[in-house]
Amino acid sequence: MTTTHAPAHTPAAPADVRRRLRRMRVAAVGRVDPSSVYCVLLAIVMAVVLFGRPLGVVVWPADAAGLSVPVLVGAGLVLLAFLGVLRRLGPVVVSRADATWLLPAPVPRRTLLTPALLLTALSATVVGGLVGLAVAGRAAERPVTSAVVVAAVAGGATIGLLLALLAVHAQTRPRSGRAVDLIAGIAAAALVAVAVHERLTGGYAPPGDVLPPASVILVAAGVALPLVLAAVVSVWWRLDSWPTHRIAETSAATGSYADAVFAIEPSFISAQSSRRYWRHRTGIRTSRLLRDRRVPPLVAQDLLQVRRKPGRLLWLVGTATAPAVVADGPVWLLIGIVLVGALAAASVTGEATHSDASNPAALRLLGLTFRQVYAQRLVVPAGIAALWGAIALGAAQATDALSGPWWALGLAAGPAAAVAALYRAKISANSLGHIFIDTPAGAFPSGLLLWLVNGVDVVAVLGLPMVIALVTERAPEHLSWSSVLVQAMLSVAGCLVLLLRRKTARIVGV
Amino acid sequence: MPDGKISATRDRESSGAVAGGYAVEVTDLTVTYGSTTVIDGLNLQVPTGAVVALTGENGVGKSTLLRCVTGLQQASGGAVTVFGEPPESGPVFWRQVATTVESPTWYHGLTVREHLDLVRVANGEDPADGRIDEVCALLGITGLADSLPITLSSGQRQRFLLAATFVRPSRLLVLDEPEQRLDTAAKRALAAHLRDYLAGGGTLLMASHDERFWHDVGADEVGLRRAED
Repeated sequence: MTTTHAPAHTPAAPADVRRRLRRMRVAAVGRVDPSSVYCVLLAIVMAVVLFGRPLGVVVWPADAAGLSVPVLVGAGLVLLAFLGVLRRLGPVVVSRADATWLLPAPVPRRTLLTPALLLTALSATVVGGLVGLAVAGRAAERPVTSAVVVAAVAGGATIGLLLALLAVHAQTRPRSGRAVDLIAGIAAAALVAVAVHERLTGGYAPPGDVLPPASVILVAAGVALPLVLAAVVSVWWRLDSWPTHRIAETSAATGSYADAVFAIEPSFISAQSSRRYWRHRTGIRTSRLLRDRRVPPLVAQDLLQVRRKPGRLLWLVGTATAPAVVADGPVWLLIGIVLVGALAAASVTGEATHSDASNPAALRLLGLTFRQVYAQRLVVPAGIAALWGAIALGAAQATDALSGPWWALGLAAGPAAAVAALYRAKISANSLGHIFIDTPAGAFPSGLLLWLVNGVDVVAVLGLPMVIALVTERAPEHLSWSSVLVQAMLSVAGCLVLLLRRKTARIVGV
Repeated sequence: MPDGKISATRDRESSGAVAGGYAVEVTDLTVTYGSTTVIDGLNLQVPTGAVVALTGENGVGKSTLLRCVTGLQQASGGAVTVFGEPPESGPVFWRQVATTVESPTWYHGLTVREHLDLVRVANGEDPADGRIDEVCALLGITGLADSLPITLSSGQRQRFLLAATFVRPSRLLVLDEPEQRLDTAAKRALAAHLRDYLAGGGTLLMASHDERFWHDVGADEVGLRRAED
């Protein structure tokens, strides 16, 4: 029989909790033995030897080429990506086991959360410092004084820590979090737009005084860094008052990411991310689009999905400018960006297909066959991918690297990308293959590799006329309308192959 | 099933019983999971228009039997027919049979009402004919029309999934513990709705642990026992 006791008036002492945690971890995974330490150190040394020099050149090139727009845009995008990673991971989280057993227990919250906060602050310092150093490495005249290096690292670290504080603040306040995500997205899109503008106008150098002198940065960082560190300490001090549900929620999300890495199943991440998004999505009112029956039901569903995730469309508009940026670069890069970009645009509504593929219960309720589902679920992705292709190749055309009706070629490739996106949405890494590839580092399941190229192979085949045109008909060659026609025919053929298979007419599901 | 011959339900005078044929016929059904036999040589006949409640402790194979009837699980032996045909994955079968046997699923980004509209439209019905409002009122989810399913409690989600099953036309309902997570008033309303469904000519096969509930529905009990008993 379960007995009840009055709860303890004082929580467990932090020292006891730490000791207990250490014992539990030792019991679970064993003590760290010298051979493990040796292996880790050896791996670090080998990584430094192998990748240190090329990475060092990226951060600190031999000669300063001068400050340029791509350098500033690149630095800004790296910092925004870091903020995005922190937002996705928490950043203040505990392991799933700790979230289950220790978070609801009367133990000091600060004891549990200190490692995560420390890791966040440390990684922010390192990332920010490296970004600062990379900018200085391109801007500072050689020889470089130590003051410049210190100013760059301190300035970068301060910005990194500010971003970490922003992510921590956003974690406890969902409304602020949404605003932070939105502003970061807009800032990233603006940076890409600046890079595209610079590319389209033939390149220009930013004003020489866009960055203040090293001495000013040093003084500013000297003042700001202690304040930021004090803010981090203040956050640490207030960790005890953090709401449990926020920590539990982000810990669960991070646990799913860990599952995805452990099981090598990337679709876990998108599923978790999707659940998280919709759980917090507010302000949705029932639309009459389905009830009015003006469009087929699954087309209406896709349209509602697109309307309710407007941020994705902004991202797509941003990525549509990428081909213009690399139009003068290697042709394989341009082809890769066009194919992957079109696939990503067509995948905007892939969530429902992925959900149906993993559990077709809803489709059985709808009583729709493969063919009916495919026919309806191709419409919106084909339209979005066609628009993306038209903008992407049209923008590349504006750089004079391409000549002729390239926008029409992009438009014609839309349905091909939609077919590929449908294939991709249906399949998870684990369903693709369980054949293990032996590598010196151990066996590796083939599913992930196949998943990475899944869909890209289909769009590469169905988009072959576009690929050939990108290789053979770049300016000064003029793209012929026959290439557009062949692409349109191949896109239609791809859709028909999908729709006219005998099996698709008889079975409910996807 | 050691006796192996749970046969039919009591004939229901009101339904015309066997005269209308059998909605479900299970013959000598055997299902094994690895070395464990869950169902051993089961026979069951559910006349069209009848209502049958499968009862028994956890693990006796109630859900497994329902999954076999809906064709979602391959039997190790024996045969199952639904309206005279083996259960299959085609649209003809799924337009006749509605089930809650599978793990619940929904589309992210669609509200409760939009899901019900979607089900109705996809099945060729008019979503504005009042049927959805009627079912929502019955199950007490009218106020949840604008909610996303992921934000619902487990009880509300159960009502929503039942509503999605009820707003589409069907001849056979296969329900796995439909009373689960429902409060007393909702159970009563659900029982009344199922009686209406039967009165309209439908057939119901369900698993249930709530004797009062299946009595309210007017079901005939078929008790399952462990195969090794």
